[in-house]
Amino acid sequence: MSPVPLRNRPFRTSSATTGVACAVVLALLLASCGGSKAKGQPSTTKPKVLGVSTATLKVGTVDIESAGASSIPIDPATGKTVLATAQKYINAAVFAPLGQGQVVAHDYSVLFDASVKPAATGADENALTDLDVGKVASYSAKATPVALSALEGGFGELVYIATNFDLTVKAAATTGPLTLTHHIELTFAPTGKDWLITAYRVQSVRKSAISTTTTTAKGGTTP
Amino acid sequence: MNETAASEVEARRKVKTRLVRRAKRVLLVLAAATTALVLGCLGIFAAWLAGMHVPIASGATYLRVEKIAPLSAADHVGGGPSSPFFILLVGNDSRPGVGGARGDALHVLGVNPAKHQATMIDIPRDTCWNGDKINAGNTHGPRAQANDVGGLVGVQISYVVDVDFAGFTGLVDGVGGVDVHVPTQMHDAYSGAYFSPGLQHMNGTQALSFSRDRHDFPTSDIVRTNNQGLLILDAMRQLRAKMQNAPSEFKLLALLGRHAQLDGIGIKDLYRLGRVAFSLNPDQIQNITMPYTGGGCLGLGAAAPGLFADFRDDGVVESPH
Repeated sequence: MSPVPLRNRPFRTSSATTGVACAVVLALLLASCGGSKAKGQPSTTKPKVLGVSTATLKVGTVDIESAGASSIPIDPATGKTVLATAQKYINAAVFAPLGQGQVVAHDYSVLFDASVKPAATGADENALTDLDVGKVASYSAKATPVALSALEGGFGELVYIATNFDLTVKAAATTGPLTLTHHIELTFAPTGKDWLITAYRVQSVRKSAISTTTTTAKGGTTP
Repeated sequence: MNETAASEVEARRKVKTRLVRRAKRVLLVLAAATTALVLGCLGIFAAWLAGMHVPIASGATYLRVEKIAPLSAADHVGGGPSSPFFILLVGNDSRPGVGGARGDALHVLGVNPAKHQATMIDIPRDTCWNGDKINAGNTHGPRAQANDVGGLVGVQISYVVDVDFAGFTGLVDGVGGVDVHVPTQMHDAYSGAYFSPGLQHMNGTQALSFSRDRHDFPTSDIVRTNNQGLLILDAMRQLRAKMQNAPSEFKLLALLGRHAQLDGIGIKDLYRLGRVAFSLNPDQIQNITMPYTGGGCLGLGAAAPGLFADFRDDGVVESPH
């Protein structure tokens, strides 16, 4: 008996393969039926939890202005501290409200120095955070590289460091998809061992399928 | 043996002579260097005494900012107390060949941080005060000038900003010039002001000419004083438009830090003051020239006491004037 060439072999299906194929066809049929039923009716199902993807801040450009004769580069430890505090800010002000539906008061308020804390935790809190958006089913965030700007005093001492970056969040809420765009400028001043936020300019555009709202918060006595 | 001893003595003598010559040479070089250093220092000191600006390391001095009184609002602006405070802006007439530094341009800016409002009152330099013209106060320093103007208006001046001719020119050039709304035709050979009415971009020299022109106007210094106020508000308007982010603020502060003599005030205070200043809308700042009477040494006009009273309570003039 001569062997049958492979291409000429008859296509055989096992019982397991047949079972899988039947299941797929059944699933597709059920899905299509479900789709036609839902047409034109408001969905009452909760959005699926698709996952959370936060953004990690990274340093982009660095600009130093000096009131002295020459400028000195920002030391790496200070740069890391400031970047870490900016990260804590977006964690507390953006990701916590979206993930948990609330601002963790302590995590958020400790980031500001005494001069702006009353405003940041009071009148400006809703503009500085995504508290009004509330908890969402899922979100994914992207941040631009952080532009660092520093002001040095006459003797090369760091007086202020500012961070500038954009944060874009795409979220799935019960009301539909949301796009949140934040332009965030935080100015830090040394306070003891820490670098705390002493001024801020945050502009946020929150866009849903039905509306777009823009808020601006400026602290440090700039209106 | 004797010959050997003699040659040794000769060799020692030669070495000694060489050492003495070398020492003399070193001493000569040191003396020359010391003389040059001393002469250089004396030259710089003499130039400073003559009122010239001496560029040292970080740049020439354009202006002087002095803290006069520790007002709570001025100290804690930036989220803290929001009481009104007052800043005196002085343009003095010091320039090569003219000493004394009289306060020829005197403007009191009242700031109300809570209301985000301000008013500027222009004080004519010829106003009488304590038997002299008020601008003489600045010859004793900005603090004395602040005390005089504060006494006249009835307010406590917190800060005084003093600038002379060269400093003013350098400052305006340093920020890239200023766009000034020229109110009337100017054609004055004394000040060098030749401007048509309307918006004009001016460099430091032109802005100084605009600020000095009084011969074009029948009321001379009164119109000039008001024009100086207009220039200050135009400059504030432009700087405010530029100060929309931290890098721009830092750039301006660094410029001021390099070119300002700061007395009792630091960069952080300037930052806080700047943020308060730029929170004000210059379009809403009233520029009011003090009501006056008489000629020569000017007296207070009938409306002046009421204006000052309205000004001193909250830094803002609300009543019609």
